[in-house]
Amino acid sequence: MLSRSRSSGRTISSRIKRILDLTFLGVTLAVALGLLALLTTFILVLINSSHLTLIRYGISLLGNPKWAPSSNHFGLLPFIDGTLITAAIALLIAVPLSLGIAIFLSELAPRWISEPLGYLVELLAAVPSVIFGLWGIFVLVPFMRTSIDPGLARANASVNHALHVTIPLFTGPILGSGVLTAGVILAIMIIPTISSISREALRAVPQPQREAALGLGATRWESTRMSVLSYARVGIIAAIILGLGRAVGETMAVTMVIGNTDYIPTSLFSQGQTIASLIANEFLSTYASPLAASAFLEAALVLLLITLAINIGARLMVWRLVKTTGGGGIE
Amino acid sequence: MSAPNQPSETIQSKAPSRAGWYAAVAVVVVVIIVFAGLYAAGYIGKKTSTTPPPTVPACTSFTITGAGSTFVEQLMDEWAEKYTTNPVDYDPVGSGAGISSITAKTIAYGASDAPLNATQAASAPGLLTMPETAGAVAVLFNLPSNVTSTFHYGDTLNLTGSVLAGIYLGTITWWNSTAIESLNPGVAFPNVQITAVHRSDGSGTSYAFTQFLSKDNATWASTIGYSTLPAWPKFADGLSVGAKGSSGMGGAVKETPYSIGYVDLGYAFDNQISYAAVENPSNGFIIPTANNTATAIADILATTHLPLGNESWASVSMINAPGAKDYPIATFSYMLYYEAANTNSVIMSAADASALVNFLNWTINQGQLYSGQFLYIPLPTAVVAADEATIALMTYNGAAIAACS
Amino acid sequence: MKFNRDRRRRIFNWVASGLCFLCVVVALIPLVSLLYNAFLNGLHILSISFLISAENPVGICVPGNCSAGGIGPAIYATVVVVGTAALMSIPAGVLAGIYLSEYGRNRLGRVISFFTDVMTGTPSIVVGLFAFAVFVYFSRAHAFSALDGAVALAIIMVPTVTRTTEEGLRLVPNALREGAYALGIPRYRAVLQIVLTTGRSIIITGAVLAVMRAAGEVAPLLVTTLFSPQGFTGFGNPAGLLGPVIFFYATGASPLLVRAAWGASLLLILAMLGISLAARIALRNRYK
Repeated sequence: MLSRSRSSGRTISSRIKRILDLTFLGVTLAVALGLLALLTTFILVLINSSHLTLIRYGISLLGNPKWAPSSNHFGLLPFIDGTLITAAIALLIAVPLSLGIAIFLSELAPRWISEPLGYLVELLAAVPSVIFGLWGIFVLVPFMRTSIDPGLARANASVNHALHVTIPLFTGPILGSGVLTAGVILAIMIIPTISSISREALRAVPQPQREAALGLGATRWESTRMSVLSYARVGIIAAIILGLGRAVGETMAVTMVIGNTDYIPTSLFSQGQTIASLIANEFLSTYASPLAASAFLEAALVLLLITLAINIGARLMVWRLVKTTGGGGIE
Repeated sequence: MSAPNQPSETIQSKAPSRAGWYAAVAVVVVVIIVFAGLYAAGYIGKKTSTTPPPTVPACTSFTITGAGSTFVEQLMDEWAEKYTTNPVDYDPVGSGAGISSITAKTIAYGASDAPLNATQAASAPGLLTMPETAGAVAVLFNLPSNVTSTFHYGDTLNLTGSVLAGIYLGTITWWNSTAIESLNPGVAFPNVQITAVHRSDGSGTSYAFTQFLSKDNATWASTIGYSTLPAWPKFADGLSVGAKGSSGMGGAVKETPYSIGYVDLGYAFDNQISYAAVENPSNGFIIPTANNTATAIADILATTHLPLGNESWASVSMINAPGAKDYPIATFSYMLYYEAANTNSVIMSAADASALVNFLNWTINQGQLYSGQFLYIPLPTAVVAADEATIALMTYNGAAIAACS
Repeated sequence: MKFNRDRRRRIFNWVASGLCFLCVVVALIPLVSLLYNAFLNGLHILSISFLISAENPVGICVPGNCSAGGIGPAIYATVVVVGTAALMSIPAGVLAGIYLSEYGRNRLGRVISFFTDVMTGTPSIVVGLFAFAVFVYFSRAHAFSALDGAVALAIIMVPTVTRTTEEGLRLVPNALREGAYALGIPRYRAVLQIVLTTGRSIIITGAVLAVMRAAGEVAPLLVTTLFSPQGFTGFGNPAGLLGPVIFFYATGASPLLVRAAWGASLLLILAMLGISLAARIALRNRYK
């Protein structure tokens, strides 16, 4: 077929070829630009749908602690607090664990161990949020209630007693569900994100970097700590930020274990609500009221902007890293 | 000139064997297709066998979509299954979401156990209100055996509206507080804090429950009041949890030791969650049953003039019936739909409107036969007659709506 | 003295390594517990009839008259709605990925690629609200519909498909492209027949993983498909997918429904395990 078109006329066939080539380029470019357009539309739709409260209250909603949609009080502070506290707990737990995992898998363990273990850790990322929630309700919450929380409460009380202070971290009645449990479940969910990207960052460290340290008589651990970790610092920070982004936007597992009350948590045992769980719980009940709908979409907009900022920051770091080290394949 | 074809062949032959990959994908695809096929076969088979013979004028194949109350979820599910003239799709998303969705005209009818308040009515002009069933709100509790307690599973727990209000206000936070123990003489309660579970979504059950609290407790009435989504008080030192939907409420109480909650009687009964005896205005402690809820509703209806379907039902309340044996926390559950059916964007033709009217008439007549098994209360005949008048108000583009079958 | 310090350093090395290994163990405890509980509570309910039964499981089971029911409607709805989302997102994602890898080695390409990466981090509940807001504006009557849910899921899937396509095609050696051009094959044919064929396994893997992720989604569906007990009854009607079914059953009080939630979860987990293992094996054969 190709030879026939050639014999029928070189110029026509090459023109058709060019037209087809340009069409193909045009189609793929249009779709790719469509992705940018989608993101832009996304932000514009959310701004447009939340213009009522944006105009009326602006960003003052973010600092207002009173949420009562039936009486037109739309303070988002409790949910921003809940989001930040749960994400902070998640990072506090997940970061050391993930770094340990990344170091073990990429620096210490032989390949035949690190391959399957790494696969298992990344399996955690594939488990849907709602299944973590199910496990949370029936396994984690009772475990926290009976085994973890009472110990923490005792520790907190004795520290307060010994130092004559009132640290309100692990105080108040113990229920099992609450911000601490939500933070723990988020930690479990972001460990694969942080550890796998940190692994990539460690993998991107040039081999001579390690060999130099080892050659000077350093142990494996010393070489990792002194030369590898400092070299991979940017990538690891980016991994942590990406983990934060995932923790901030997570919905179902949090909704199922956080206790869903609309107030600022007073201790880590308190129940609370994140922006995401607020939307999951209450949006449908109130969206017919234009003002309430607008408040919810403003909450969604805030959530989107937070996650966008987090992701842009982290991705910029990852990209710079990829560019400077010439490594690839960082997801 | 067959040269241009050469490279692609070489490339293909050079490509490494991917037999394992293909096999894996093939297995997955086959499994999905087999499941889809098996299911589709059963599914279609089932549908065709239940399709009634066509009669004239026929209802369209319009799917009647409804959403709202989880209080009536079991009855609505039963209706969706038993009503065969048109497919019915009921989504239990909570009364608050039912009111929002019918106001936003994203469904054909809404279901709510709470009547519309003035603000809601103002934003949904032309919306009709029709009680389709009634039921009791049971006060749930989860009180495990405990060394400090003489209360055992199956014992009766007595509560009053005022004490419940104290529990939900966070002023009564311990099971062994005198307020609770004085209502249950001779019983020692555990020295454990109460977890007050409330609905995190907009709920008609919350509406009825908080209305009861408002009538029995002045502090509650002045600080919180009643609504589908009240601003639940912040506890200084107590435990409060939000749960989504009736089933979420039931699950939360069941999974949380020493908790208190509220849900429709049928759900509590079916799922074997303990529920309390609640004090009525005649100072009797009443364990809810279908019977004492039915008498409660009959007693209130005897002295209440029901509004028309296009009037406000905000003042209608089945709380605190006067009878000595009446259970005090009962409620109507309402279906909400537009008088001018054509104004609802979901209803796209007169035939669609006919299908909806047929279904509405069926629910308040034949549909009532299914309510007893879930401990809902069949509508008294006077209410059925009023409902039929409400349905008759409906129009499509100004014309009365013809029946179909 | 020096000997002592060396020993201390060596011991410290072992302790630190041990701690790192401990991190792996600690992180795997939740996974093991989750799998253990899913198998323990879900395995005995997983049967062919549970998977294809058109009847929902009942919350109450009277002895002697107990129809177990199943999740057939939810599986059917999931296959249809996620399949529709895949039909929307996979072609779009692959085309965009082709642009990024074959034509986009310039500033514009990098910008698009960057923001596609950023989009993978968008919270799914926000995507749900966006899809809902768009439907309420353009087609109010179908604001709660299977189609709305499919659109939301497609938006969630498309960045992942785009980026894996791009990564996959970038791994195709440039020599193949250059060889094709040298022989006078038009660029679009070179891309479609040679580059795409060679990078196929990664693209398929990315698409399958995106599909699996969508199959377990709940949050965006709460505000788009709602939760219909009948599963799928039409694109314009609400639908009940597997994820929301697990959520509603899991949070309820009925032990039978909780058991069904575990069964459905186990099904999703098994599918996920199988597919990610298959993907891993396939990719290992391909690129090692």
